[in-house]
Amino acid sequence: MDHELPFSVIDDDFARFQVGNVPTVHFNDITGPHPRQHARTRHPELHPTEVVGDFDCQQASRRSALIQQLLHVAAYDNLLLLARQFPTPTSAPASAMVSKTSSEASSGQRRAAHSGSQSRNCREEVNHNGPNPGPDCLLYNLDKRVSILVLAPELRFVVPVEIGGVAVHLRTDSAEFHQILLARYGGFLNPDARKRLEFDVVIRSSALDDGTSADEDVNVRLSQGKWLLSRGDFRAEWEMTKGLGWVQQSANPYSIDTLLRIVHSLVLAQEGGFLLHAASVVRHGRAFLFSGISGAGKTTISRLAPHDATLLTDEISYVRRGANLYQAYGTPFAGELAKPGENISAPIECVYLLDKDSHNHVEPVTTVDAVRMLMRNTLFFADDRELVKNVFYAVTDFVSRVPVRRLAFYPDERVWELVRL
Amino acid sequence: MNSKYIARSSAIAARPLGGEMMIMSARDSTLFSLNEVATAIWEAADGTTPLADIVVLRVCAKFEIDPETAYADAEEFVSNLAQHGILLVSDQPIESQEEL
Repeated sequence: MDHELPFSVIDDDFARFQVGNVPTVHFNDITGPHPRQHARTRHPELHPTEVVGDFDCQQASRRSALIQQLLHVAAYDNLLLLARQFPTPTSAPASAMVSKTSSEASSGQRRAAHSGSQSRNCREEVNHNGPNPGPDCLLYNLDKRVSILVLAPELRFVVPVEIGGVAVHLRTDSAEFHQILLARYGGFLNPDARKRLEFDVVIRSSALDDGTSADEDVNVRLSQGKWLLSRGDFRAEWEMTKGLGWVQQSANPYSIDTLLRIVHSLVLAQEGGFLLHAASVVRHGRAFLFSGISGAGKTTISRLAPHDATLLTDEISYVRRGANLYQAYGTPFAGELAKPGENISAPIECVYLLDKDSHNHVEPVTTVDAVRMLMRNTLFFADDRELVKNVFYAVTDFVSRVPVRRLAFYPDERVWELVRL
Repeated sequence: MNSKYIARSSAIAARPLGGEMMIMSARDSTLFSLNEVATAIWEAADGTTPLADIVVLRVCAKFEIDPETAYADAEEFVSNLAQHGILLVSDQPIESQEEL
């Protein structure tokens, strides 16, 4: 190298460069021959796009000029510089990649960058980006090849929502949506929890722009290792193995709430747990679940709970296998109470299948009925055979360890006299 | 009597529970519970043992049922499960199976 690089090396293997105190993009998961193929699952707008072109940079003076240009770009505060090793057709030894993320990156800009890929002049390339005097990203090779990589804009806000011990980081650039998330999941924020999943949230003023009907039902399917999730009001993709995904929605709490329910139901199914349509209440250190469809009395029984009881949820119970026992966790998924549960957990003592009657009584339930009713009340989003099998094994194991009874009740507080250890 | 062979579908999940065999079709989420006799037939459904042999060895040898009644019951049970796709029935031995 006959010049000093205008940035510092952070990581040699997948070398990351940084200018000043500009935050780096987390691209550690890009490995292999081509960044685009191995990039994280991101929303198309947030997806890095690489364009490779040959630029006349063999002369040291030209390289210098190029670096000066890149430095000019670096004057912008959201610049970040990256570099990584990857083979090129000319077997160049190393590539230095210099990038500038831009939140204004549009598909138009990307196309402009792409169409200029054959340019012999780097300046032309830079000028393609209109009023913003820098490319979204430049990949600069010290041999003679220069590529342009349009990097995703970094999302400013990260909200770590931990439910049932599974931390999902929601990333957004919208200050408004950030506030919505904080308000909705306030009791479930845990920045110290190990991150299991990460979703980039792309906010649209109207729900979807691909002609999808707004009242389209939930659709969840697995395609080539990716979960594709959608409803009239949102669209999402998620790679379970990488724990990365994105969701496109308007700035409302309901879409993200449904997304989280779906995601948690799929994660739990792999870990011997399930989400159940049930209220759950902790009393004397044990959790009692009250399961039923809408109108069965989940919210009613929650309202009637004695003062020494703690509500985990009046709508969606989070059930996970522990070492010996099944554990119920509090969830922010609220029903008619419109109030999130407490963020605590307790071993499950019993599940009551709710029924309304003129007087209160508890009855035994056959094993088959217990399995049938719990399967019926489990949150299922995908018509996926592996998922059905996993949930079946989880529910049958649960029934072999936790008592399930029928609770027919008349809605006053005396029903709680029947709910005991 | 024609030979009949039966094999468990791979598109199911099964688990013994409370003295019964719980079986769920992964195709349509239908739930079945089999009693002791049905479970014995289910467990012997290896695709290569003729149903008649299964009835003699697994049913008549263990439960007090006369062979003719047992075979008639077994046939009905087998065709019932086959209709829901959780058991495969063939007049040839069933070597392997595709996901249904």
